[in-house]
Amino acid sequence: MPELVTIPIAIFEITVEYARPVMKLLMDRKDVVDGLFEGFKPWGIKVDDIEVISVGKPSEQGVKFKLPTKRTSFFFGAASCTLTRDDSDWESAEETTAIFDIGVSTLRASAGVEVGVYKTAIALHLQPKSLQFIDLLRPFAPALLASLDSSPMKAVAAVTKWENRKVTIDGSGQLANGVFLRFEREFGKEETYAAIAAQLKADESQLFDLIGVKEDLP
Amino acid sequence: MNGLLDLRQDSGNDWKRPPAAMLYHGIQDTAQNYETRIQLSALMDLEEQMARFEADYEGMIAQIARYYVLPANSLVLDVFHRHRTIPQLLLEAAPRLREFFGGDAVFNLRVLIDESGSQTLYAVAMWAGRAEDVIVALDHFEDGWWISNSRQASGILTFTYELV
Repeated sequence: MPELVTIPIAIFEITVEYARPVMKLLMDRKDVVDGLFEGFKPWGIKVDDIEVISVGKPSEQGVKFKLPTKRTSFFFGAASCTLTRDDSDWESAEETTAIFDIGVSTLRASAGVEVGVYKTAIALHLQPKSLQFIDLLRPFAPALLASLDSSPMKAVAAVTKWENRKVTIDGSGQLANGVFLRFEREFGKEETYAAIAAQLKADESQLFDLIGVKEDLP
Repeated sequence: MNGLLDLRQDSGNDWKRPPAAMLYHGIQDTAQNYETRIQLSALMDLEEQMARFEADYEGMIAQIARYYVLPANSLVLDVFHRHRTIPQLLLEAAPRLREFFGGDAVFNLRVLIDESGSQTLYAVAMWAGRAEDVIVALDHFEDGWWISNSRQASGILTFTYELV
C-alpha cells in the first residue's frame, strides 16, 4: 500500500543548450527582448518583471523575464535559455509548454538560435501523511554504509547518474518531515514537447512506485 | 531541515522581493539608494513598503513549513493572516520544541473551528513513542517556554500531541 503524500513544492525546469553559442545575445539583444516581452504579454508581464543578469560567468549572464502570476521565469543567455516554473503540476503542463514555446520560437526568429539539446529537471518536495520521511528514505541507504552503525539513521541521501538521466533523493531542506526528489533527463533536439512531457510523467510514476508513495489529490 | 546534499532545492527565483526600481539599477553607481529612501518617509513608497512587509511575511511562512507540517487546505494560512503574531511565535517555539520533544518529532498544524466560528490553531506532536514520555516533554515545554510566551498567542494557539 503506497504512502499518501502531498507535494507542497514542485519545480519544473527546462533548459535549451544551443547548438552553438550566439554571442550577439550578450550585446545587441533589443529585438529579442522586445519580441519576448510581446510574446509574454498574455500572461500580464510588466517592464519591472524583466531582470538583467550581469554577474557571473558570461554563460550565466543574460535577461530573465518573470511571470509572477504563473510563478514562471524565462531566462536567455548566449549559450542557453531556461524556463523555470514553481508550483508546477501536470494540469498546468500545457500552459508551461506554451510559455516555453514562445520563448524558444522568439529566440529562433530574432537571434537565429538553434536547439542543441533539451535538459529537463523536476524537483518535488513530498510530505508523507503518516510515515516519517526517514521511513521512505531508509531503503535507499547502501547496505554497506547502513551496517556501520546500529543506531537509527537520521537521514539518507542518494544520487544516481546515467548517460542522459540523473535521480537525486534526499531529505527536504524546505519542509518539515519532507522528502526531496529531483529527476533530470536530457532529450535530443528532435523530441517533441509532448514526448518530453510523456517521458517525464512516466519517470515520475516510476520513481513514486520505487519510493512507495502516491500523491494525495484533493 | 533534513537535506544532506549540498544541492539547491528551490528554483532560484525570488518571488518575494519586488523588482529593482530600474532595469540597470544594479550597475549604476549613482543610482538612488532604494533602502534609504524608504526609511526617510513613512508614507512615501507605501506600496513598495507593503510589498516588502508581505514578502517578509511570506518568507516567515516558508520558514514555518520547514519546522511544521502544514495541511493542504488554507485554514492555517487564514489564521496566520488574521493573527500576525502567530507565525513569529511558532518560529520562536520551534527550537524549544526540538529541545524538549527531540529533533525527530514531527509537528502538524491544524485548525479547529467551534460552533461560534472562532478558530484555534493546534500544533500537534505526532508521537510514536510512549504516552508518558510525550506528556513529560509537553510539561517541560510548557514550564520552560510556553507559559511565559503564551500571552502573545491570545488563546489562539495550543500545543498538544497525538499518539500514532
